[in-house]
Amino acid sequence: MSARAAGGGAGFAFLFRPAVLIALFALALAVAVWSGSGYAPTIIARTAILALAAVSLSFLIGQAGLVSFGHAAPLGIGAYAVLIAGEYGVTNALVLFPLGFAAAALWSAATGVIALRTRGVYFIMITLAFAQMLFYVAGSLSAFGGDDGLGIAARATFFGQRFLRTDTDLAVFAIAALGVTLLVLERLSAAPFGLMLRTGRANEEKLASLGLDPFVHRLVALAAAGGIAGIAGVLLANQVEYVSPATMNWHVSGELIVMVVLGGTKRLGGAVLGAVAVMVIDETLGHFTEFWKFGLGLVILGAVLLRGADLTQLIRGTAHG
Amino acid sequence: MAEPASPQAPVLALERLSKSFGALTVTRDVTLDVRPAEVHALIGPNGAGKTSLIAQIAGALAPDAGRILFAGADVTRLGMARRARRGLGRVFQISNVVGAFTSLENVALAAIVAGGRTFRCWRPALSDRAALEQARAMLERVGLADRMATPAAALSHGERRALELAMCLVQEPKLLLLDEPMAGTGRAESERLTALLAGLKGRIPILLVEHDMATVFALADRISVLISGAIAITGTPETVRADAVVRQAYLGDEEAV
Repeated sequence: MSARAAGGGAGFAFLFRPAVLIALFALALAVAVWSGSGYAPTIIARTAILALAAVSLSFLIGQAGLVSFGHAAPLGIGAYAVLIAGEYGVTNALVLFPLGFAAAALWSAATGVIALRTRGVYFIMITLAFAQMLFYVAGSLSAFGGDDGLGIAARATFFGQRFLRTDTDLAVFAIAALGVTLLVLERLSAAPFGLMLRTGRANEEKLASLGLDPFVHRLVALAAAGGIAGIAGVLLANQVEYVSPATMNWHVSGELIVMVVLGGTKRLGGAVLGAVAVMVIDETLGHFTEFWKFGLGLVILGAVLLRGADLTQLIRGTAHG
Repeated sequence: MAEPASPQAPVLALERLSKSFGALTVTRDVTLDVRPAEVHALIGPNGAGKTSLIAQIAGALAPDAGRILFAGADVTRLGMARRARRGLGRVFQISNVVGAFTSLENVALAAIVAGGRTFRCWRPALSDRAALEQARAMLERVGLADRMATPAAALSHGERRALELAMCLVQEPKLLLLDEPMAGTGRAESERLTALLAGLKGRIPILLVEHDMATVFALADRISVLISGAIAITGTPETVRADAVVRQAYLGDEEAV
């Protein structure tokens, strides 16, 4: 870790750069469209959407040291914002995206006020508990499909224009959102705001003795990361055209953590690579065996051992990986 | 709550402070003050309660009874961060810097916090010229000019103390709380640090908790001796050195003083 936001690294370090990642996504999408594959743009859109959520979680873990095990909650809130607004006839993207962002950010801030009273493993458990509460609440919303969920009324529009007609449209939009998010979060990390988060993670007592209690900084980080996950949820609902409580289930939170850990938290781009890795393993091994998660497990094990990442550090919220 | 501070009013005053953990009383009715421009040393044998007292002054530990007045206001119920913002600078017993940051980054961080610019979100922290200028000047002042780009974790004990001092000083504190600054340093380093502190004497009031008697007698205007959580005596170095109780309880095995 350094006072500079992004740590250096030899070899494949260029892969972590936002511009390179976005270019690779765009290239993959171009190849997919050119080859006429109907399925590939869907996968690319999904990957970009999950990468967006993973990047926001990486910001929390890597910068603030806040290992949230409930990041599926803001993701699901974004998705439900689309479903619920759609049921009331609202499909304008200019409403849905701000709504998804605000609702998810509000949730993250409100639960954060309580969760931030804890540290380490307790923070992990309390964020998990909040997310599970929301999961069961969503399951009880019989007007919106209860446990089974419900198809959304229509994909988002722009004043009646159906600009997300195909998954290719959606992929373009998701990749753009990912690019903007990476740029904004990298600026935020390098700025004094991010420096205070990292110092608070590394040495909270010192920060206090310098006169700063980073509570508000952390709360803002939680709200921002939650809001971004909410945006990802809005995109996800549009891609699947279906919303169910499963989006908020704890193993979605777990999968996001896996993506972040796989790519490392040192640089935000790591979470994007982690998301790509999980999707690739899912799409390849998943076709051969329903036990593909076993293969994923081996990959995680390998990544952790190779990087020498200390999981206990991750749990304490002081990971450097 | 704020009483206007007259020029001669103490910067820090502890009034009848007490703290117990169960049956163990670590602070017993302690009354002590630090006057402007004064170096007030606090000494005492191991287990006398120095660390607990420091923790209460810094705001890490709440006293059971008594008041702490700092810069004319009652700060007894304020947390660590808010006391620091009022000008209480603290150097820890175990050096407390961000190891992964360079010296320059550590001091710049302190300058950014002091400047209240912690919520800036767009320009990189390390492009804050004002903070970097302040940090460079301060590092030169504490003798770390050639160690600016070194990660704090790679500094020697004494250098880290000097770095911590620089982080305090860049915030222009109203009082320095030094918790055993000489602990773990070699002779040459401790002499350098003593010289550094001597340079501050008269400009910033200092409450110095220290084991190293050479340093204490070189710097202190007044000395308070803490024995079993209570102040046994407060006085000039000569008075304290001559005091029979102190000699028996504490200085007895340090005749070299």
